[in-house]
Amino acid sequence: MYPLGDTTYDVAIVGSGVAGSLSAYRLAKAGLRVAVLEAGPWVTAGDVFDAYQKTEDPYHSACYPSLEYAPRPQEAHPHHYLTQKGPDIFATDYLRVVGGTTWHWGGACLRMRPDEFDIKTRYGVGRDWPLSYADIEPYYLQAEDEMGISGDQEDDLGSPRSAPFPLGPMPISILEHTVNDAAASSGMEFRILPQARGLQPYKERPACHGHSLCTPICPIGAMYNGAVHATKAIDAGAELFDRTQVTRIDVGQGRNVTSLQYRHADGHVGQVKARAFVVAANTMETTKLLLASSSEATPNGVANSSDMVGRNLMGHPSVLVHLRSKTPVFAGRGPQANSAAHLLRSGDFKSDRAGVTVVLENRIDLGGITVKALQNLSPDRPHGEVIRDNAMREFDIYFFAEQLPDSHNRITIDPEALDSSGMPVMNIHFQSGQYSVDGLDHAMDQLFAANGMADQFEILSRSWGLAGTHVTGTTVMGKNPKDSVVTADGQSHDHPNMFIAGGGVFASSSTAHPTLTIAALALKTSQSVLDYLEAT
Amino acid sequence: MRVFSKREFILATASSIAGLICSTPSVTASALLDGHNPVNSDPAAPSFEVFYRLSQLVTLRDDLDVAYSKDVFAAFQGEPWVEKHISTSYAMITALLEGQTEKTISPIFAEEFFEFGERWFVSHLLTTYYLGVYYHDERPNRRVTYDKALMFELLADYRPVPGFSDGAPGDWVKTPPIDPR
Repeated sequence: MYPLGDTTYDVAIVGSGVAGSLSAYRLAKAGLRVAVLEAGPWVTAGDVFDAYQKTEDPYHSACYPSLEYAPRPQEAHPHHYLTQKGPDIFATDYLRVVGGTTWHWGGACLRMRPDEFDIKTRYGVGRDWPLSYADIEPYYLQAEDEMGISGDQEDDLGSPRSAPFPLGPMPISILEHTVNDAAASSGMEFRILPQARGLQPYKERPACHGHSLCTPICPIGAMYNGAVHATKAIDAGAELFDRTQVTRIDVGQGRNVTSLQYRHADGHVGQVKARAFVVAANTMETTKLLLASSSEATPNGVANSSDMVGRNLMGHPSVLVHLRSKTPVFAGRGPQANSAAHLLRSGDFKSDRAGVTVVLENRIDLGGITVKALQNLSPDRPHGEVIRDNAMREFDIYFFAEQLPDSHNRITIDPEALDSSGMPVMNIHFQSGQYSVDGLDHAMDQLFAANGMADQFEILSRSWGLAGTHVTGTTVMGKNPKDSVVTADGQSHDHPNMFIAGGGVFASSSTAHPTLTIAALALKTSQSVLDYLEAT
Repeated sequence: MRVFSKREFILATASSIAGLICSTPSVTASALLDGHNPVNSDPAAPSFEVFYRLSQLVTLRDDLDVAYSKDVFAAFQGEPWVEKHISTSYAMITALLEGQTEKTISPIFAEEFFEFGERWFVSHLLTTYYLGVYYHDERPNRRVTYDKALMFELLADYRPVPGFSDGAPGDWVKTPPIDPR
């Protein structure tokens, strides 16, 4: 069944990731006729886990499809889908399937902190958001309820709460105890992260049983993913069309969007009409679609009278530090991201350097440890013992920094170069920036200057990069239509019946993992769509 | 589960060591080293039995899964060097063992024991068994197994094969019931 040209929906949604699916669920539940168009196919945890067991590619997202009709970027192959214009490589990875990229995430659900919404006013850098923490807090609660977030009721991690977490905290492990003891003099304490999983079942999801495979796939569905709400949206009456890529947004004689053009995987094309539209196709795909929809009325692309679509591309510049402990820490049991240190997320120092979140990575590169041992075979020690011993002691600490919006960091499209689905190829112009680098340097210095850290751990390597993790910006929100794309409600300044949901609307990247804020903003935008339709 | 320790590795003898080999609690070093070494009657086409015995000796596992080993053997077939390397490696290892009064396998892992080609082959063989993936320079890599990969078995007393947990929620924070080395 496919949407017909003469059907007019109340709302047409582009994309079925966490933002699109949550929006679809809310709007369908409110009684609206909703269509969701998703470029990729449905997948199940069983499909993905089966593919994971069969693939010989150690790259973590190799078990997800990159299809001719819905290609995608792959972090390990940054030139595969994107044209890197430099100076830095923007290596990113997102999924094009029903449910989106939350199929292979760590499940960390930090809220942003209050000061992160007005960093320009407080610290003189970046951009202020057009909304405050108080404005979004009710939607954080709703998002946490929908996604089933666990957390420590006694520890708000600097983001005040008006109600408890839906689930109690995940437990602290030997790894966390060991690192906290060693890091005490640094002032950093690794505290349990709010997570989209729990020790108890939540609604339709089972409890986490410690499969140690959150990325690439939680095989039992204990960790939240966007397909949960794609399914709920359908149950509430929404129509979801998978393998259906939106290729163009049409703007009518007035300012409003009138329809979406699509191409199905089988090659047929069509259009969907609606009274309102939500574009939630992932930060980068949304931007590409807007830019590719230029017309006489919108020569710079849809929603782009400000020339800000594509600009202010942000990520989280990061460093992964690989360590070896004197005593076994048994990393790699339980959730892969379980705790983080928050000391350097906020403070007046942010006038000069970025805030940084420090995550204890509860995973091991067992394949890497194994290969290294086998490349150094010795008569003095059996290889099995070497592998086992290193696996018990090695772990990673992941530092990621806030990145400031910079209009020179941007996505443009190349209309002459098309990808396998017939859409323009994206050009990426990107530089991490000294602000983030300084923040990362300081955070590493502070943590590793602790006497206990030097006594307990040996640093084996430091790997810089992965700025393309947690992609945000390019359709930023703001009060001024001349320097932003959408309002605080996600409503396009240019097209009143078009809304954007997803990480693209972030005015700054903050020190929080973005998913919970994406979900909260999508719920806030859904309310605005309802208000808009009621008023028109 | 116990790991074949350094001392045991070096001093393993047929009479004195029991129950101390990598992740195979029922296996003894004596069982491994005193096991039957089949005759390699056709070095130009070594049998699976020869390959399996060679695999036991280099992985230090008397109870190496036979079905898994057959899959690994199949993965190696077609390589132009495979028969030579199996036969040469096997001949060198069995010659070492047969000449010993106190049996020990550790010398085969010394830099100088094998020629370059055989040393590379043994490393390649071990990598395949441990990772469950056959890496090839010219053809696409090939997944031989997932859950039987020996690297997972090494940690099986405190960590499930990823995706195959049978533990209860929160079990992972308990101190593993092992003697960390």
